[in-house]
Amino acid sequence: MPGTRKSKTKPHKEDEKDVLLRNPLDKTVTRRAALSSAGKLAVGVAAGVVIGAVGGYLAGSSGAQQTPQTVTRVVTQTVTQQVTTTAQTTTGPVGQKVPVTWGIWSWGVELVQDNARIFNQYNPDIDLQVVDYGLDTFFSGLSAAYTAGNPPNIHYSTPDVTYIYQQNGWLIDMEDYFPEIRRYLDDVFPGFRKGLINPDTGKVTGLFYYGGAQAFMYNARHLQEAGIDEPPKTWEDLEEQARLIKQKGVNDDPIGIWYGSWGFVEVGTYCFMLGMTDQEGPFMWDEDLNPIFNDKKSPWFQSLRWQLDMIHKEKLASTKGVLYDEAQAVNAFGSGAHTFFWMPDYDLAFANTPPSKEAGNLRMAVAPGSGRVSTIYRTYQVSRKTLEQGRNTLEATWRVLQFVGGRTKNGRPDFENGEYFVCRRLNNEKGVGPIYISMWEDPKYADIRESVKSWVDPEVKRQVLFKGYDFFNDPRMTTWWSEWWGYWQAGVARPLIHDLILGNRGLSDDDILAVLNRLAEEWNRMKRESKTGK
Amino acid sequence: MLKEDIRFIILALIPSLLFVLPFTFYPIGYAIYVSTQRYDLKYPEEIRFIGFDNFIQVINSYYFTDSVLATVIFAVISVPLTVLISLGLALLLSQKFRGVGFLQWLVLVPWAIPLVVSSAVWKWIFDANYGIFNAALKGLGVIDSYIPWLSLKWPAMLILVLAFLWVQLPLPTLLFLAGIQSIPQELYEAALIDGAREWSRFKSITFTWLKPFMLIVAVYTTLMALWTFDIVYVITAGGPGNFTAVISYYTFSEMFTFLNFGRASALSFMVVLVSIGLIIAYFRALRIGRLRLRA
Repeated sequence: MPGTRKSKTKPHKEDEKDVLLRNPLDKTVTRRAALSSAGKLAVGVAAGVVIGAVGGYLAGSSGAQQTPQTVTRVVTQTVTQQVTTTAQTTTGPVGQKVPVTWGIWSWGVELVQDNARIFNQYNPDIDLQVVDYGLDTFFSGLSAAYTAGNPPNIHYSTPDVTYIYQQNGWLIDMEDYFPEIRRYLDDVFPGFRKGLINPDTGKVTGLFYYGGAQAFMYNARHLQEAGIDEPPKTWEDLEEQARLIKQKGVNDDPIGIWYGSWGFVEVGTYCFMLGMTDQEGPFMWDEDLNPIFNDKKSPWFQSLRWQLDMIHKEKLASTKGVLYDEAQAVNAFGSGAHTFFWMPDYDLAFANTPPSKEAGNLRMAVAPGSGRVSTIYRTYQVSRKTLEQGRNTLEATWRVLQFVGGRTKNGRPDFENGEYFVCRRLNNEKGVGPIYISMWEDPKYADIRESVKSWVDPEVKRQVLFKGYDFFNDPRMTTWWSEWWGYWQAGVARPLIHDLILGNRGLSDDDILAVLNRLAEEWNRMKRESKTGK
Repeated sequence: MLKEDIRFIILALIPSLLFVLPFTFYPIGYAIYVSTQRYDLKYPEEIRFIGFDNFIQVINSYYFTDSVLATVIFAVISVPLTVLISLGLALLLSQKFRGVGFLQWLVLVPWAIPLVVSSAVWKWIFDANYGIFNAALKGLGVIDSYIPWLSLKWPAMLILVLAFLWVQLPLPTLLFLAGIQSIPQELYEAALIDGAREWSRFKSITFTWLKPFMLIVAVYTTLMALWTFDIVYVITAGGPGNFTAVISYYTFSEMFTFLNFGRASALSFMVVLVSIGLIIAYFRALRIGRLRLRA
C-alpha cells in the first residue's frame, strides 16, 4: 500500500541516516528507517537528484543507472511499492532484460517451464530462467551453488533447509525490502503462517510454493459394512469402531499408522499426539529449546503409549506402516489395507481415484479428538546474492516471487485485484493444494474446489487445513532439527521410534521413557555442538 | 631391464594414468584431505583443519556401532553365499547339456537391470499388503495373514542378502566359468587313470586351479558388500530401526543429507582401510603370494 506506511514514519536521528546512506540495503536497517530516510532525502537538498534517479529509473533510462549507488538503493525502497501496485516496468538500460534464476527440484518441470514462459511473456523486461537441481540432489546441489557463490535468485525450500540457510546469511527476509509481503499472511491458514517467518527476525521471508495437512481419512465402505454411520469424533470412538470393523471381519488392520521410511516421520508420532491432546503447544521443546517430551505426562509419551497398545495389545493396528514410503502408503490405503489412515491431503487424489481399488470409497474428515493435524509445506526463498546484484534484480525477483507464490494480474503483481495464478495451476493440473484461505473460500476460485471434488469434499479439506499445526516450528526450527528427526530418512529419532513401535525395545512405560530420554540426550548433544545453539 | 623397456612401460602406462590419476588417485587423496577438515557444506565459512576430529566424531556418533554391526552381518552372510553359489552355478554351466547356452545367457540378466529397479522389485515382492511372497505363502496355507517381512530384523537382512546375491552373482559365475574352462582336460584324464573319484578330482584339480579366481571373487564380493548402498536405500532404508543401516548408508547420509563432507570422507577412509586389511587377509588365507591367473 504505497504511502501508507511511509506516512507513519517517525523522524530519525542524523547518525541513523548516515548509516543508512552508507549501506542502505544492509539487513540490520529496518524498513521503517529506510523509508524515513528516503522520505527525508526526497524533500531535502538531494531531492532533485533523487527524483531524477526515480524518473530515469521508471523510464528505463541509462541515466538512472549512473546515479550513485547509495542514493539509488534508498530510492528503491520508495519506488518498490509503486512497482508492486502499478506494475510499471522497472528495468535499467533500454532493451536489456534483468536475468532472474529460479531454482527448482525435478517435479512438474514442464509446468514450471511453462509458468516461466508465461511470466517472460508478460514481463518482457525480465528473463526468468529455470535451474533444475534434481530431486534427491536438490539440497546438496543448491548448497554447493551457495558455497560457490552462484545461487539462484529464488528457489524452492523446505523449512529445515530454509533455517540453515538463514543462519548462514544466505537468504534475505523479503519483508525488509517489500513490507507489503506481510499482507499475504492474513490469507494463509493459521497453522502454516510460521512457515513464512524467519524465527530469528520475525520477518516474512518469502511465499508458499504449496502445502497441505497430514489429514485423517477413512474408508466409507468399511464403515458401512460394519454398520457405522459416521467417522469417529474421539479417539475412544476410533478405537471402538476399529474393534467393530475387525470383529465383523471387514478389515483385519483397521488403524493404519504410517511411520515413514522417507520423510513424513511426523505422521504416526507427531500427528497422533496433536489429535490426542487438548494442550496447547509447544509439545517438543520449550522456548530455550530444552526437550519437554521425555516425561510420562507429555502428550508425545501418551500418544506413543496408545500406539503401542493398539499394535501389540489390541491388535487393531500393525507395524506395516514402519516401512511405508509415500507410494506404498497411498497404495495401502487405496487398496483397502486400512480403514483409518493419516497422510498428506493431496495423496488422497491418487488413493481415491481409478485405478485405485477403493476409488470413491475414501473420505477425508476432521481428525478425532482435538482435530489438529500436522502441516507440510514448501516455500519460495530469495538469496542474498539477489540483493548484491542490485535493485533491478531484487525488484525483478520480487515480481517473480509474487507470480509464483502470490497474486498477479496478467503476469504482473496485483495484490488487490490479482489472482494466485501459479498456485491455481499447481492445484488444477497437479493436485498440489494451495494453503491460501481465499483459494478455498473466494467464489473466483470456484474452479479450485471443483477440481478436487472427484476425490475430496473441498469444504472438509478447508476445515482440515484450518486445523493444521506447524510440525516444523514447535516452537521453532533449529539447524539440527532434520537430522534429529531423521526427516530425510537417516537420523536419530526415526530408527529409535521405529524400534520402539516394532516392540524391539520393550513395551512398558519405562521402555518408552528410555527411548524418549535417549532422544532428549541426542537433542541436547546436537544443540551443544551446533554453531549458535539454535 | 633395458632402458628401452622402461621407456616402453612408461609410454604404455601414460594413457591409463591420464584417467587413473585425475579420476581415481586425486579423489582418493582429496577425500583423505577432506577427512581431516571440518568440511560441512551447510557452514562453508567454517572449513578448517581439525586433524582426526571427524574420525572421533564418527566413532562416537549415534549410528556408528549399529552401522558397523549391520555391515559385518551383511558381509558375513552375503560373501560366502556369493562365492559358493556362483561356484555352483559355474560348475553347472560348465556341463554339457541341452539348453546350457540359454542358461549361460540367462545368468547375465541381472546385469541388464538397473540396481534401483531390481531393488524396487524385491521390495514389492515382500510388501506387507500385496507382495507376491505373502500371497504365495498364504495360498500354500503356510501363513494365515500377510506378514510385514521388511519390518522384521532378520527377514529384512536376509531379503537384502537375496537382492545382493541376485545382482552380484553374474560376474563371479562368469569368472569361475572362465577358470573352469581353462583347466586342461589332461589333468582330469590323468586323475581318472589314477583312480581318483569325483570329489577328489574336484578338490585336487578344480578347486586348486580355481584358487586365484576364488580370491578375486572373494575380494570383489567383499568390496561390493562393504559398499552396498542402493539396495539398502531402496528396500529397507536402513530399517527396521537401524538393523540394516550399513556404513555406506550413513556415508551417503553424511554426504548428501547432512552435507558433512568431512565426516563422510572419514567414514569412507575407514572403510577403505578395512577393505585393504581384508584383501591382505584373503591373500594370506588362500596362500597366494602373487596373483596368477595361469597355472
